[in-house]
Amino acid sequence: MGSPITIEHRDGVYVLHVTGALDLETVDQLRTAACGQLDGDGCVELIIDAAELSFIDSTGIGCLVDISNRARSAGTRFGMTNLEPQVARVLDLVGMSHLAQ
Amino acid sequence: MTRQRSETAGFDVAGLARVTAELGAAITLQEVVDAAVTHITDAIGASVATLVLVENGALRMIGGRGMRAGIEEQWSAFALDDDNPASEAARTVRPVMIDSSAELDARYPTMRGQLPDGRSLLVLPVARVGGPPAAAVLGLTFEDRWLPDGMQLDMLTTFATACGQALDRLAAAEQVARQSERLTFLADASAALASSLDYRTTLQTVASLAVPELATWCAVDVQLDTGPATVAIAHVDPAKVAWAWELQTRYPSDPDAPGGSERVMRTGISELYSEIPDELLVAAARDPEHLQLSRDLQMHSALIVPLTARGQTHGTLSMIRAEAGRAYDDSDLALAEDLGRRAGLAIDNAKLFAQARDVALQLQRAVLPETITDIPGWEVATYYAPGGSAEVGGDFYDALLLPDGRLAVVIGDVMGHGLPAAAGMAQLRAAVRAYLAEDPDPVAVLRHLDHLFDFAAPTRMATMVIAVIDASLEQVTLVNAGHYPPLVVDADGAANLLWTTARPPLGAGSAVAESTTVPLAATSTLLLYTDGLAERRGEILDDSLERLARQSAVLTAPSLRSALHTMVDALGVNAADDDVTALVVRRVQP
Repeated sequence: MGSPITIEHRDGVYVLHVTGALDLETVDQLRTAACGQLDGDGCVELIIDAAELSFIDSTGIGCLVDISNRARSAGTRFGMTNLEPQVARVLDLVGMSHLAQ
Repeated sequence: MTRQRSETAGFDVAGLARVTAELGAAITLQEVVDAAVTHITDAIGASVATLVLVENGALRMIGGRGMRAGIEEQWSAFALDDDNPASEAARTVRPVMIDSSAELDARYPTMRGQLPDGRSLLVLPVARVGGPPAAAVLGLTFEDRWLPDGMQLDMLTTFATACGQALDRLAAAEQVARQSERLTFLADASAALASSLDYRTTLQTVASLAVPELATWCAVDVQLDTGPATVAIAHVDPAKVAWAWELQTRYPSDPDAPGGSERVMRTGISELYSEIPDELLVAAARDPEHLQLSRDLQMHSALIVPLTARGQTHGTLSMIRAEAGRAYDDSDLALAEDLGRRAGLAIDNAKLFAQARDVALQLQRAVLPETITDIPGWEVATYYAPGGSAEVGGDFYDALLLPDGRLAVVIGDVMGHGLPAAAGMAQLRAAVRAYLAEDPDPVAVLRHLDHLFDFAAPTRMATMVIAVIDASLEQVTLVNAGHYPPLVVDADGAANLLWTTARPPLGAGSAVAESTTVPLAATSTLLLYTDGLAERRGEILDDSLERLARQSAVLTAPSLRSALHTMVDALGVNAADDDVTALVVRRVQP
């Protein structure tokens, strides 16, 4: 269930590759990684690549809302790509499907 | 008088060398005793051999061979300053040679008649580093008044030196073993102290770890709001644990007691009783029975250390040894004090945590009415269980009869934990009430809440469902801001999740809300809940919701309140993970 996060960036676009589950045990990791990029200089867009993310719960949603809010106040675009159907379903249910690109 | 004779054939030089080598390999006290007593007599033709340890000004025999009946008991222990060959050899660290019983009687009058006729006696000191006195003495008697010559005596002295080295090695090994025992204990105890915020359980674990290696029994007293109380007891003999508790109950600690754990609690200064004389028990006893009970505990040695943190003494740790011969010393005290500091910190953390949790829980309880019974025509039941191991969260519910006769029910979940979440929840609940009173359209309420989050957010984020039930039209109008879908259970037990147009949670940026209106029969039950009721770690959401729908069939039972509890039990929710909150409502059935 571990969620190692890898980061790649090009021309101000930072992509976080998240794997496994996004829940109580892993949200802090993602929050720290995302804030690290948003607080740094030159982050124009932050994208979570969720191709390897298989599970998300309400704690994970809370974390995404947090990141989304911070990105907005930092003037950085934020979104998610490659959502698995299960993850897309939860985002849809809680009205956060606009994050999906 | 022949002081030395070398012609006795019993003295086997090769045999002595073998036994000396054997000592070099000895790793237990028994092996040393075997070599120094049994094997040596064979090698040098001695008729009697004894090995006597010198400790704390006394001599104690630890092995003997060939002694006459009765002699062994008589010589099992004597004082260093007694007038006899063994004590003299120990004091002077020089060999004592007695040629005959007549010489013994002449030199040591108190020993008269102890050496049989025809025998001679040699007492060899086993020197110690930093002596005198010697570490031990080796007593040997020979038949036919034989005594070793100079070279033989040198060889025997070498043997005694090997004995001393073997004893030193054993003592060092024991020291290492004790040290590692202590370090293991400290590591285990520290792990136990860090593992839980329930300090009573933790302190019991610590007390249990101390027994039997460090203590025969161990007790922990803690300063509670009501005064000092024993919270943990461990004893080598489990049967005595109950008895020790009884003793504590019958003779509860007196905060003003002149000594013992009460004084340590007051002063924060450790107390070490290497030896506990009976007079001390007499002085501390409250009555004859108490004295007898104290004596039954066989307290030979004790230490009491404070459990301190941030300059405050939260309690005491008492260790008692019943075995004679292993008195507590300064190194034991240092270990116990180290443990006391760690335990003190653990208690301090637990108290701080409990205080914060209590405040959050009190706020939660103050804001959430436990029962909502005063709404005419409606039966409302609620369930709230704060997260167990985690901090209290920010779940809330509400039910409010509107001026037009409709009923508004609300459920919400403020993100976060602890006091900030509880405070955010209280503000948010009040805001919802106020907006509902202003304009009962749930879309308008959400719009107002979005404004509130924009300019004076009560919390970072919250999810919420607001449902307004119109009994006359038998329908419900609801809005959902990022919350899991409410559920309608019909009279036949069929459950339907109410999928509404999704909008994001409050705090995730303003969003347009649309309300959804669906039929709600007079016999149907509406269930609102928070994620803690439905979610299971690692389970996909649709499976969680399906299980919830299945279990909600019990809500058709006549008593809504007990039906709700039945459903929560059947779901087997794990309150340790998250708050669990639910609200159910239906028309009072005619």
